[in-house]
Amino acid sequence: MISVSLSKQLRDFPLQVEFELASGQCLALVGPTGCGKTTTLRLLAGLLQPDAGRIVMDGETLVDTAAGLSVPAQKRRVGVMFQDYALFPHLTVLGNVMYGAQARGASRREAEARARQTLHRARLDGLESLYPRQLSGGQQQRVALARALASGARVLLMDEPMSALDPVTRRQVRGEVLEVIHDLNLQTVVVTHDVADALTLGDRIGVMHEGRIVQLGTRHELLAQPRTPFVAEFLGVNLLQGEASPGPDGLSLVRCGSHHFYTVEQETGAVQVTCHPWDVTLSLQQPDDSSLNTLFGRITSIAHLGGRTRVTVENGVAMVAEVTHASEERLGLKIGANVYASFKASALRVYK
Amino acid sequence: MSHDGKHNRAAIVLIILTALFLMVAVGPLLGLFVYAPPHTLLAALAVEEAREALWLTLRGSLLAVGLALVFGLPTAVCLARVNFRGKMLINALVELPIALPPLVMGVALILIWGRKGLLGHYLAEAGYPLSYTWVAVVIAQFVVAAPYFVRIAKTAIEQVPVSLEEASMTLGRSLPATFGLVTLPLAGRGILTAVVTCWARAMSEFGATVIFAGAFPGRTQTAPTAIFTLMQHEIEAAVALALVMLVFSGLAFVLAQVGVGRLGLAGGVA
Repeated sequence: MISVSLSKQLRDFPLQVEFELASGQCLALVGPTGCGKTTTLRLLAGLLQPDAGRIVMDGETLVDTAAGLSVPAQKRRVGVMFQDYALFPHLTVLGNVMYGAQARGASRREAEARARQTLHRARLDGLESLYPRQLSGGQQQRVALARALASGARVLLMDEPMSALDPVTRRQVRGEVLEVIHDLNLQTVVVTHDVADALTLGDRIGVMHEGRIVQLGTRHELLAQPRTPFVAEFLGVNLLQGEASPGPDGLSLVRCGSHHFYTVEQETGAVQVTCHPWDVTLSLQQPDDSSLNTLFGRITSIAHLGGRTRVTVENGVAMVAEVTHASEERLGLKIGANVYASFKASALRVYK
Repeated sequence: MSHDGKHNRAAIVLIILTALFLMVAVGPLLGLFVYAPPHTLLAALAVEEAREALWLTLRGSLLAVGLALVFGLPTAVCLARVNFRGKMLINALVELPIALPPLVMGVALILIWGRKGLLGHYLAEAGYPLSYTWVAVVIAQFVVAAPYFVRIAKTAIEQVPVSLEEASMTLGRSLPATFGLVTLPLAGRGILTAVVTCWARAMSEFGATVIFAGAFPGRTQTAPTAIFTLMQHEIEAAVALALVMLVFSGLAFVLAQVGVGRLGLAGGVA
């Protein structure tokens, strides 16, 4: 259980965050670049000091500015997975993963045993004697996670854990990260600018904007009832439930109610699929490109957000498309009109 | 094909230019061997004055390097890692001696630490004059050579990503332990280069030494000042001494290379 209430003056706005997190829960902080999410993470890790506030973790007060208390980073037992992984280039994989346990007083033998066990669980057996530069991006990421876990951390902080990975590795790693979080019953804070990552990783999701968590809730709450236009716009990702099975041409087929969509990602069973509104195009005629997924439906809402228009098309399932004002006018979009919403198989991302 | 051809031509031109550079810049060293064949080295070492000068140079420069490490490493770390107002200015001041003629440093040293200097006269009155002693030799070498150490060591430390140090701290290591286990090993090659450069510069120090320590044979005469003095009447001895210094510097260079390999020091962080 962590309870956090922190403030710090940043260059353009004050950072002010408050949240509580139960054991085994994952909080995803999501927001645009520069919203203060990474600063929040660094405050939790003790790499930055707040102007005011408190952090209480499992009953231990880590920070209390009123009492002049701040436990230094090395005594917090907060595991951090850095965005660039920050693996020690002069140490082997084993050396990296042993580092934390040794720092916290374990003997060499103990540290090595624990490191080997963690590496085994992270499916990194056989890589012990390699150096970080000899590993793939996905492997480096798993080593960074193993290193944070083997140090005896009671909280795991992840800074943009997926940002350096290609889409396929990304999906695999996301699954592994989820597994670890739930297996170890760790409290985890993930910081990301990617809405889809936040929605799938976080048990609860906090949307950050200019230093504040503007809405904190479950995936369902956020998508169903965005509290501000910013949240609505920022979260505006299409999320559908479906059943995946192998399809033609190496594609997978996802059935969502009476509809089916193709995706380039390989998955089977119950899944969630996401698609960004800007990947969805609208047309009045059936697109002749057969590689496209299409949904023929009725326009149920048209919302203007800055320079773009968000159009919701419904027919059993709902799909939001983001188009320019110019195409809105060209197509003569009106509520109640029927249109084709289409998107590529590569735009549909699948989450188990 | 034609692109490759152009590429080759460019490479040939560059190789020729490099050869020219070597001829003009390094070629003269050959003159030393032609004028004084290697066996005259031993002859030079047989002269007591030369032996004493060499010994003083070696002893003094090693002490100066030691001082540079003790005082220069914290400075390098500070300049690489701590942010404070006026850091640019401090950085410029630390490196200023590199741009100054060593003679100027010598005059400055005399004015401060000389027997009638601002602070030096207290020491002289107490019976411990600094100028024209072997200690003055070390101070002169230190003052001139240490800025090179700081500059190179600072750059080496700057190249270690801060996130690695932060990772070490979150894994439970204190700041000093992190410095020893992460920063130092990763900056090791650069710091070794800094030591060797500093040592080479200290051994070859002439201007500040001549002014602040003088060149009294057997007391404050170093190899470089001895070479200068000997050139005026015993040119063979001067050349032989020069050859010995060349061997010393070469040795330092080779030692540094071997050290980098043997210690398995990580080079850079790429």
